[in-house]
Amino acid sequence: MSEIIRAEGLGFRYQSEDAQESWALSDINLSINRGEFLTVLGPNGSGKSTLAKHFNALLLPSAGAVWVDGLCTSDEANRWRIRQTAGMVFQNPDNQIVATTVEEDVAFGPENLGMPSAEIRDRVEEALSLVGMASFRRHAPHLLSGGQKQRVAIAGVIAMRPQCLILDEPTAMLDPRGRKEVLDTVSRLNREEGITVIYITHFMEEAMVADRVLILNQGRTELDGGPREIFQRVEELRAVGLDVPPVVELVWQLRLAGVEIKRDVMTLDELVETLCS
Amino acid sequence: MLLKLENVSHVYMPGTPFEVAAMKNINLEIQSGELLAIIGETGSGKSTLVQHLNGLLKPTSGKVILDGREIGKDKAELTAVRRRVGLLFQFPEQQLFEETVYADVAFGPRNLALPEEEIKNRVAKALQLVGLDLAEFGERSPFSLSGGQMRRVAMAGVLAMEPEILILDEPTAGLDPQGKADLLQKVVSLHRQQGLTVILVSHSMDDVARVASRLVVMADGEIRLTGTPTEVFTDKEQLEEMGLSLPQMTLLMHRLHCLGKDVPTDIFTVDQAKEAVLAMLRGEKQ
Repeated sequence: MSEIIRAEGLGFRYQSEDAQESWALSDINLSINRGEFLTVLGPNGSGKSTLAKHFNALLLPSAGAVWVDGLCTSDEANRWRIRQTAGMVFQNPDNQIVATTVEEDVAFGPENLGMPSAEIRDRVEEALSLVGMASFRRHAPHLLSGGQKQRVAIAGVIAMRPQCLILDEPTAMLDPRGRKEVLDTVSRLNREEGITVIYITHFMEEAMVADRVLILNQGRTELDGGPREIFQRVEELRAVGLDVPPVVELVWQLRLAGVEIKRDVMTLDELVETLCS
Repeated sequence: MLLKLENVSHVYMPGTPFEVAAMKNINLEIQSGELLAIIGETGSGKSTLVQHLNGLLKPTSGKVILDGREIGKDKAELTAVRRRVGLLFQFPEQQLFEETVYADVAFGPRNLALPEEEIKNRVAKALQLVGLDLAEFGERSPFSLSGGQMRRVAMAGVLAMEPEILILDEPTAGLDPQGKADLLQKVVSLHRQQGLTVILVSHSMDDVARVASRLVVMADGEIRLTGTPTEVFTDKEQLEEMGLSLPQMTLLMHRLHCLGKDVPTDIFTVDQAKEAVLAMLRGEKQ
């Protein structure tokens, strides 16, 4: 598999007025493959958003380097191409809306690429259907609910057809159905369109669909592995202020109480099957 | 009874193509000392409802009554209503604006023209209630704090007004698991120890089931279900139809029960589920 993002010895510190500057990221070494679905977890302030912003050159390393599709982010000449390769969806959709109707908002990116209008129209329609917002195309984005706004923001990035989609807590404000829709959409884009996904979240259960989970703590990589492997390390996760999904926690508790259950039971279906066999 | 909504409807942008009926003929009574949770999908009308409770929004039709007096009838009374009913918005940390934590929390009390000594007492108490120490945090910039701490400063700003009713709109959204657990714990102790009436707006069943004494489930601008968590969660199909899911552990118990296992279904937490499964396994051994 070929690599799309690489970080070597990546460190970053925010410039602050205080004499003391703390490192938001230190010594991150990471290689993300094309087509991979990577979920990044970590407590507030662990450096997740800071890391994500390095993947489309919104932030530049204070130490080490980052390459996106072979392009070094520190080189200003690469910036335009990097941002077309890696599209970013932020935490708060209100800060990302620029137009007065949903379709114009989604068209904003493609228009700036100077595409023919028929092509823009196709991309906008496709992007809106992918996020389930096609019927809202003529609505005013500021009147939508938080979840709907976030889906429009995702459509705006998808319309740019990036190779890599970076989402910074896209579901923080959504209800269960909205969350599922967004996660399903992102998974489908990953599986069917082959888009590389970097997904930052606080919802542990959302990490289960990932190929790989990266846990950050105080700006460093704490754990890196498949979800089944990571979720078995309940105590290490707790130590950094994270929790495991309820089913995993129950399995862990039952095992502590002497019940014989395979330790990598992770979903409700698997647990029901185990308990009834 | 403390708060009452009588046939309240609210229409946004009436007479335009964007007209939306966000609340449809809602009747609800909220008792003093309750910890009530309002749950529903995004766009179900939860936030619209709570903004009626302190007169931020006026009903298109119907009445909102606080202690026997209709809110908004006399505009001069609105200030007093807002002092009694404190509302913490979604992502309240975005509303912090002062240079220090002290000044931010003191903003409300200062507008009440209280003496400086009283303001100081209130700020100290409010910060303590949210688990922040005045000496440590008072002089810091709110923007130098973590997300969870900023949210608690915003909450202290509301508490410094000493409301009788505290409304929290999605208070745990965007917090990490530890921050979420801490904040819910703070809300529960405010309810228990300070006797505050608390109204919690949430779409996380797992969160509210543990803390709320009563649930109000909204969908499409209407109240669809009310009752204790146990009562509400028995209606699994209707909840799912409304885009809400049962807490994971409740779902597990329902599934086991369906398959003929001897387990109770009124279970919300991992600890309860553990006991239930252990009891089930012991029963099977005999």
